[in-house]
Amino acid sequence: MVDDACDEPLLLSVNESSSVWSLSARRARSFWIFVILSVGVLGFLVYSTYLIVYDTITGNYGWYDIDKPNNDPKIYKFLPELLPNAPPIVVVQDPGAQLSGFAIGVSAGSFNDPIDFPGLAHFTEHMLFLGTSKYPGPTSFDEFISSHGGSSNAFTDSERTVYYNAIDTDAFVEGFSRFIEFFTDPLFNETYIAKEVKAVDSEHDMHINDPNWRLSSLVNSLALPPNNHYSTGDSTTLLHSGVEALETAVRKYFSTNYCFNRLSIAIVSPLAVSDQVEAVRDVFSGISSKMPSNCRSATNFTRASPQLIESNGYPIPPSNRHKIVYSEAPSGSQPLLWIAFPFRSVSTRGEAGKHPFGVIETVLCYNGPNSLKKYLITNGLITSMSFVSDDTSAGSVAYLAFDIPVPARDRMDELLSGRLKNLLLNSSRSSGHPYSTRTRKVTQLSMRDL
Amino acid sequence: MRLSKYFAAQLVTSTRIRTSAETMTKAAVDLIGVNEKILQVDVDIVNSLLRELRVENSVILFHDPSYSRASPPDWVTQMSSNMSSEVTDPHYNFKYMVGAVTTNLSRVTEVSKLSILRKMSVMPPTITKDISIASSRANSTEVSKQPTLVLSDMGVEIWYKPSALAKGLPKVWLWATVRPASAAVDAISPEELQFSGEMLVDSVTFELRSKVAEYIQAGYDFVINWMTAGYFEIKVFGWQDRINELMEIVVTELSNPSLNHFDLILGEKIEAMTRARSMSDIAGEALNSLVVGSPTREDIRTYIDTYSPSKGGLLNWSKTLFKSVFFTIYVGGSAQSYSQDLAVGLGRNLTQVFTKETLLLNRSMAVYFSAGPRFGKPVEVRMVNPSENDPNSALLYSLTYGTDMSSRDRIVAALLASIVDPMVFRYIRTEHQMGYIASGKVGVYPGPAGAVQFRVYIQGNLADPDLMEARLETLLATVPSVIQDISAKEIEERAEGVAASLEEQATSANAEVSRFWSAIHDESACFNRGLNQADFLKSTDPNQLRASLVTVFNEFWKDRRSKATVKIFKSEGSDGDVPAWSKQALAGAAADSPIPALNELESERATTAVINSVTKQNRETVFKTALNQNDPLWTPVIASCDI
Repeated sequence: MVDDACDEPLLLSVNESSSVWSLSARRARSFWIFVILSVGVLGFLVYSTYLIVYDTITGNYGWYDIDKPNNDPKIYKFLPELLPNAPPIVVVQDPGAQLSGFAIGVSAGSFNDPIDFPGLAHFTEHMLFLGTSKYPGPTSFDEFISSHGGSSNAFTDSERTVYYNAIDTDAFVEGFSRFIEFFTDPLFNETYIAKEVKAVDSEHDMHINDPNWRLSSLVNSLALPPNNHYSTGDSTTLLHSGVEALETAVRKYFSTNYCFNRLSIAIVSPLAVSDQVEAVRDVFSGISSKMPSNCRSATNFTRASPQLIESNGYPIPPSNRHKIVYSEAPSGSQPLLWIAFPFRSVSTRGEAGKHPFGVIETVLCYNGPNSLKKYLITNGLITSMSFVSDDTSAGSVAYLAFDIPVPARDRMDELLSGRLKNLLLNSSRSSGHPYSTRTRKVTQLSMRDL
Repeated sequence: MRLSKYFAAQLVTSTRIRTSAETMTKAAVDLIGVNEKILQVDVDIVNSLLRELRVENSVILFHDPSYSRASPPDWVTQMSSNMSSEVTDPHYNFKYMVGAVTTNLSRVTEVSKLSILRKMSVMPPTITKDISIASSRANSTEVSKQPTLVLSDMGVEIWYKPSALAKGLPKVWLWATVRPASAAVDAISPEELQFSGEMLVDSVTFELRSKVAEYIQAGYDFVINWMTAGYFEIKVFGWQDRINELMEIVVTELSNPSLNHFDLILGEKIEAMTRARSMSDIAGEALNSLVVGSPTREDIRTYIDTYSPSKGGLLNWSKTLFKSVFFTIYVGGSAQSYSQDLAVGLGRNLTQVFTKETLLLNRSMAVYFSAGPRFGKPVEVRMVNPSENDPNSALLYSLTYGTDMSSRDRIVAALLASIVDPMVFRYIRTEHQMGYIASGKVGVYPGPAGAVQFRVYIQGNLADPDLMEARLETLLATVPSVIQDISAKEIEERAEGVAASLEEQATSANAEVSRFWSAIHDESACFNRGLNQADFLKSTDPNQLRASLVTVFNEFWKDRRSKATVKIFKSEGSDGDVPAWSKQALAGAAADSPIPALNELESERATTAVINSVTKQNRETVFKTALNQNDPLWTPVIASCDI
């Protein structure tokens, strides 16, 4: 009675059934648990192996994606730690590029000048171009770059110094390697230290008749350190103790501020991201650097300055506000009226990316019918109006800047006591207005889709 | 970790190697250098900052070219108290005084709401899925030409190209030229032409900036340029849904200008003519006035003083000019069919704008490319730096080939510049420190069919321009031997470098439009000139290139071909001789410099026509004495597309 036998278990009582079933079920469950765990472990091992092999093949070096506009065909990757002695890198694969660009930003600038050598950061920037141990010629890098269809330059800002280059992609690796020598084995040749001071001196003289430079200098003079620092440098600030002392100061500045942890690299090239990373890895692997791998991190100058702390982070102290400064403009220039407003640092509060000053500029400088700008221009009080800002960790200063026609030189009270005052007292009324909606939308489109 | 960062604009690469290094790397450097997260606009933060924009928080600075310690403007005196005694900025050597603001500003009675508090009528579009459709149509790289439309009584020539870069975006770039008939242009003096064109542009732009302010805030914009050669260039870009409206508003205002603020703009223009400018601008204008023949500011000022232009006069001039026009419109947008429809529709509408007397004109290339004079002997302009106390001197040195240089030689000349520029930088700037700025370029001034020039600009506070020139010429004389010593490999690498810059794709839609526009504008329709030149450089034997480099350099150098220099002397010691301060500073020459020391220099210059300022009269004198009477003008030539 096979059929009966087969049917028999069905006739068992619940208890019996449970006991029989529980025995075989436990075995089965153990079996399946074992199988599942085994498959899981095996799968994990296979997947891990796959990832390792994949990363090896594709060159995934622990990079991170960077959000970009929807319409941008370039590939952006950020590598915070490629090698122990390499700075963080942003790598950009630009399929449309023929040239390759590479740049290094140093988190140090004129705010880091020693007190007795104003302009030293700027001067050091000049000196880095003038020869390395391997390529001692004072223009060897420039000549190499230009012989491969490229160009190079640099600038020194308050808190950073940036060196940037472009070159034919075929010469990218060689150019990049030579460029890194700037930061690992600069010569600081005494002969060229003496000569290059003349170039900085000349640069200073070029600024002297720039009205905007003068006014910035004036605003800075009313601000707290390090904002009131003289940044260009000239022969008097750099050569006061002789060439040898300057050389010593340059070397000290370099060793104090040019460390790997203060550098960041940016590369833009048609080469694949992995090829670019390999090139960087090769260059840094071969470096026996004089550069310290680690030095004190970049300074937050508000926190570092007792005076700025006392002024609650405002770069211009209350004692120097509500002032009027009357100054001598270069002959033949246009009269300028600036109204400077100090703010606490926007960038160190993490708010710079929200474009507050950009929005304010759009609000204040609107040129439509009945606007302030239109009113001032049509009444002959100004020829142009702009709103600019300068933001550092030592505070922000924003300027309402007006170009004044000569005949209106004596009429500035009309400007300062009329609609402008009204604007300054009532400007916060723009909140919640459709204007905000439009600004948001345009900004979003610009960021996402341009 | 994921960096949540957005770019304000695409990372831009440039077609010009001079600027590409910075533009290529800037956004990437900013990403990590500043650690800036570009996030959404936060109105609360904006308002918190706006609340701090108060007079009592501020510092008011007035920078006055008529500064007088004894008699500042009345409003300064009335508005301030406790004015400090005069002090001097220690580094910039200018004087200033500081006082407390005391005015109560009590005269303010008007509390009007600003127009920012109004309803907006122009909003940016909502981007929808049709972007992908547009994108799929945007793959063509060809520039197409609509047959010339003769609509009513005017000509409209339309070119269009779906943008490779704007694909996916409902944005359009509309560029147009409005070209008046040669006859209209020839009937008036160059000074009147330039002045009236600029005044019309300034007036129209002034009115439009206010009229279309809402468009501008919504992401549209426009530019109108009056070109020296006598035509308008209009550039409009923005969202495709209302771009045609904006173009029509611009053209309508241009053809029927309201000129409501004529006196205001004229006053500003006259005042602007007296303002200080950069030394390079001054030198460039002087040189262009000699070589290209374009009027200087001084010429235009003389015209204004003589003829006292009026609003009515400008209106009449405008109507004369617009009696005959020919439009060229370039449409670069996100969808081909849209571009065509837009262009044709716009062309039709424009016929309603212009006068019915408009004639289809007989264009003449001479209008667009002013022929320059060919000098038989060197010409030199000597002037004193107009900025008082400016210790800088400058030299703008040019050797002009002319307009008849072949496409092949033009690109060899560019290769030549890549050799000479670093030489100038190394010896003139770094070794001899004769100027903070020292650069050598070969360029075409102006326009693709203009005269080809080799230019060197040097500016600095140590050497005087005569010395700069002497040393520069000594250096330039070594160029042929330097070229001969360059290895074939290096020439090949240099050629590849120049070729790479020519092949660089435009990476912003604006740059893309600009590239195609130049080929439409010069009527060559040569959209591949750069690529052809790059192919030539890459496929030519380096030794052959070396021979061509020497030949081309000698063409410039031979008899200092049409040499023209502008020398700006520092304010003091500008008598023309090498001043003592300069001799002393520069007596020594670097050991490895090909430039001999000062006492070895022998200045054997050809007889030079010298003028001490650039005025119309002076220029005519120079032309009489220095012009090659047998061959006074270069014939404008459009460079061939083939190489």
